[in-house]
Amino acid sequence: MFSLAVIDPRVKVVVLFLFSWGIALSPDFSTALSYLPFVCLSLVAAKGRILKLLKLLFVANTFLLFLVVTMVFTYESPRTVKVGALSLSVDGLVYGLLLLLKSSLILLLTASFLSTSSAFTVFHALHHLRLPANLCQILFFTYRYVHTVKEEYETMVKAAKCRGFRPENSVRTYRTFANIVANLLVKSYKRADRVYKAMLCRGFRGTFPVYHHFSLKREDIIFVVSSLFYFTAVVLWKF
Amino acid sequence: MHISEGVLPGSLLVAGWVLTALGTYVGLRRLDDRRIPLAALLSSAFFVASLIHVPAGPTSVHLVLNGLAGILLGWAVFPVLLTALFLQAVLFQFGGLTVLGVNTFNMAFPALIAYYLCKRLLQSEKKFSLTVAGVLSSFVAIMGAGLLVSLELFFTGEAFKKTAEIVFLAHLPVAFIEAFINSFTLLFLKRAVPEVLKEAV
Repeated sequence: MFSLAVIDPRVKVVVLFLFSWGIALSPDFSTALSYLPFVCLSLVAAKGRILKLLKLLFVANTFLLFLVVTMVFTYESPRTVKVGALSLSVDGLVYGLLLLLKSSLILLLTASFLSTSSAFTVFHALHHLRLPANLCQILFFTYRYVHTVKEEYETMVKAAKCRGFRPENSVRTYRTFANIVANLLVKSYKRADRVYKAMLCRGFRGTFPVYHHFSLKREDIIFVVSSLFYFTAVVLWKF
Repeated sequence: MHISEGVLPGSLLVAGWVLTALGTYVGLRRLDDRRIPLAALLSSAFFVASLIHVPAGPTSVHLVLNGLAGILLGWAVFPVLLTALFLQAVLFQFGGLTVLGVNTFNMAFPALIAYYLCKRLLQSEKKFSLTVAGVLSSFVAIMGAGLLVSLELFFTGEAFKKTAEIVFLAHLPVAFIEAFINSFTLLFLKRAVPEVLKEAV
């Protein structure tokens, strides 16, 4: 059975990028829906847990739900339905559903492509795709330390709670949070200094040596050719 | 507020990426090797700070702190926020790859303006100047971001007119709260590690 996990991450990033743009720029339902089979196939190939993905979709779409609701109530379009004192816009609803569809397709595609590689492999692939070296290093370090910084934050909140801190609407609360943020920053400055010195000790010269190299396999080429074929077919069909 | 995938038209998405790429290029040029770990750690810190929920009236808002990031980083705020937003897109699927350019620009550009406005104030020894810097950076960065998001929605289509207004107003409470947070944070930094504020400029 074909699995996305074995595909070269460089190929995955390129294909994901192409399809994200394709879906984002779809003008109508039929174009957006023509990407649906591809997204479904990737979901199957990612072997992700569908329920988990759907939950993620719901959380990630809160901005869009808000957008759709405000549009339904406020868009003064020709087609409206009166319900009591409210006038609901049919065009607003249709437009909103299209946006929701496009956004969900891209989210599902991104999730199925990126969840099948580790974050570090994805960054490594970006490095090979000519992302500036120092931006890659920032990405690597940020990902490496984000959990550490989060733990520091949780420790500080725990300490504050032990001293009877309870968040409420008061200047005192804001001051406490500000102190926590400031402490996080101070710790980050100090840690950055230590990290830099540790790297110097190990002979850091501004670049990370790469020991593991990607190589295109037969599956990768089949995957990229069939994806491109699909993409061109959709674009040509619409054109 | 992050704009979702699929909402904006292609021209805005491309413009966002071009502007973000320019800002990131300048930011990286000004960042020497020595400061790369620092940029990364501040990126993690701002990432974590955006997970902090602060009570605001009956609900709660999460901190953005792009103003503070701008003050401390200058032009480097572009690569740092790009990284933080990219990680958010990869880890939590907030926003996405096509709108990443627009979302980064929305946050980083007002932060850069805040940096230039507050540059002088940070050098002062007076507590009052630091408080002014905190309030100013919060309002410029947050309301600036809100204004950009609203304008983009407004130019996207007729249907978003009201939404754009609501989005802009929704940024006000965040700006008020962050005015407190920024000022107290700057006062703390001045007391504890004054060299940090000197280094920033």
